[in-house]
Amino acid sequence: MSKKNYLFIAAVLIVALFFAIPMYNAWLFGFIMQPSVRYADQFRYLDPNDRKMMKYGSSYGMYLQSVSVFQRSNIQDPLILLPPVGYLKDMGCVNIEVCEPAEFYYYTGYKAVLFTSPGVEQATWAMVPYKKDVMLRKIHSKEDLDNLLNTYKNYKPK
Amino acid sequence: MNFLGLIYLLMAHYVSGRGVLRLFRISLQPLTTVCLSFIIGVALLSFVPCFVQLLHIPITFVSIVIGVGLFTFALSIPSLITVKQPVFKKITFPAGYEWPFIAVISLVMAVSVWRCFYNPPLARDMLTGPELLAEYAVREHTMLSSVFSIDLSTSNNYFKSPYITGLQIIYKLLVCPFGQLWLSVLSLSFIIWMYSLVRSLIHPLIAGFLMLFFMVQPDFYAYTYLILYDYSNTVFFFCGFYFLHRWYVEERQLRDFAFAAFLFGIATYIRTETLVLVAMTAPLVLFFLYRMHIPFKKMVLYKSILILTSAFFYLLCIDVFVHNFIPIPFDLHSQLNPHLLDISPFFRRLRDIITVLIFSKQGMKEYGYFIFFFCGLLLADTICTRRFNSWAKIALYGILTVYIGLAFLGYLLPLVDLPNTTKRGFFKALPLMLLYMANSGLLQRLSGKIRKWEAG
Repeated sequence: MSKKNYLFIAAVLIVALFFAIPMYNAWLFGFIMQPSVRYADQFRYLDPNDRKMMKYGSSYGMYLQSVSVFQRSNIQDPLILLPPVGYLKDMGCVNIEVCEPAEFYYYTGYKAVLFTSPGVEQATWAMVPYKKDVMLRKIHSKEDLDNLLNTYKNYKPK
Repeated sequence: MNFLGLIYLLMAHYVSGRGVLRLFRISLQPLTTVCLSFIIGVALLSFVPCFVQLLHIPITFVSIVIGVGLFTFALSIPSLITVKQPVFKKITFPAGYEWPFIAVISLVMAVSVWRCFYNPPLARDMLTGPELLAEYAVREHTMLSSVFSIDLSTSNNYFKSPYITGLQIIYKLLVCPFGQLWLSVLSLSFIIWMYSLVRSLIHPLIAGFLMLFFMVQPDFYAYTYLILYDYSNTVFFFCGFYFLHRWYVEERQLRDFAFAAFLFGIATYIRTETLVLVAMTAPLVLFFLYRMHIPFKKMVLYKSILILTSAFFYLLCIDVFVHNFIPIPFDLHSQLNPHLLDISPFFRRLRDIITVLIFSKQGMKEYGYFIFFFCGLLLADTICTRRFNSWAKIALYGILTVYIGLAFLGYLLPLVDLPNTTKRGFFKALPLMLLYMANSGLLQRLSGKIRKWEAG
């Protein structure tokens, strides 16, 4: 056997021993080879919207579903009041994360504010918990908005 | 996916990068030339949407295609002027025993490219900053889009360099809806170049092992497909050190030094804090100049080139792009530490980088055993061989610069936190560690023995 062959065997052994180390083994055979969505499924779902749905999770789907009411009812330029972080989870909507207004705009194309945002008094719609999901409801008056803001200001995460 | 658009951009990256290499009259090995051309070309094309916007031309598919074409043509002029008969050198393929390493690295990089293409941008820093700006620039044909009419009070990511915004606009318009593939161009070029560099310094068997070790650092690997600034910043910062070494040890020509300054400048354009790290290379450069017996006037010239190039890119980023494209005032003072006389945060950060970031469970999860191996090797070299070649010395200086520089940035700018900014900033030390390993006295000794045995 030539020396090059010995070196080849050495290289194979080095690679095998390297990936016998538990951390690297888990990384290669878990994280790389078996991602949370199997490669076969990834090839099946190539549409950008499916890919977004898989990566951004259920909150993203819920945001899109919620804002579809604006398109259906042809509502122009709504400004959505988002609840504080953690509020929805504490109200039983365990699968929904509250995002920042910038992220919300990226996901949906609709403007949003937090209760601490400048210009919050302009909000015309509010994202509120509904059973285990969320829904958008119209803010009917200044009093209605103040009530919501007071609830959010006094909210203490559990 | 638009393959024609991708091919057009790959050609544009290569030609524009090659033009800049020719402009600086940098002559390298063919593979290194190709890889560096792509790396530089990626950064250069990020300027195109900014220029299109500065000229008040709507950002559309056509305007970007023409903009990329014109920009590439302008940058290729140095190549066109000095066009030479191409010399086709004999291609040397890797030896058979390198293939087990190459196979694993290729597999891991194939997965990286796929994820880069398949997954949408994910990092919160992107979705509230460059990616958001790019998405709406594409939809509304202007970088001054409706994004600036929404509530941006929860983030300052839109103040960051237009590097990613520019590249995302180009790739979204010309290649695929999530953009991002420019990162694969950059990371593949960098990995191939690093491998060829390491194997030129040490026996390929050891080079393959070191490269594998370098590649499989979980966190560093993740940023080969997650778009953020730090991977690109690391690549250009390393390139700067490479050419600094080349200038001092191999060529001693001003052009290599100027090119190193240019690469540090690009790194500063990508992450403006890099200016501090570039300034910290000053003692090394002064030492080199002193050893080269350069007269004082020339010393000043060299120092000015290094600092002013990075300062120019800093001003380009902050005063031209941020000023023109972000209609919100940028106040640097509000970001500075108001208690500068209290230097305890600096020492605390120095300690935390070691105890929390590196030598911890979290550190092992993020960097693997790579840094442990580096530290062990450095200790063994210090005890056993006590000989450090020029590459090793420069790499160690670079690592120290990153370590102290990041602690200093953490003290200067409280927003530079440990678990995010400092953690990713530390990436800049990783290729320098790899470079050190390839020049380690002990591994060089082992390499020599393998070569002797192989030849005997």
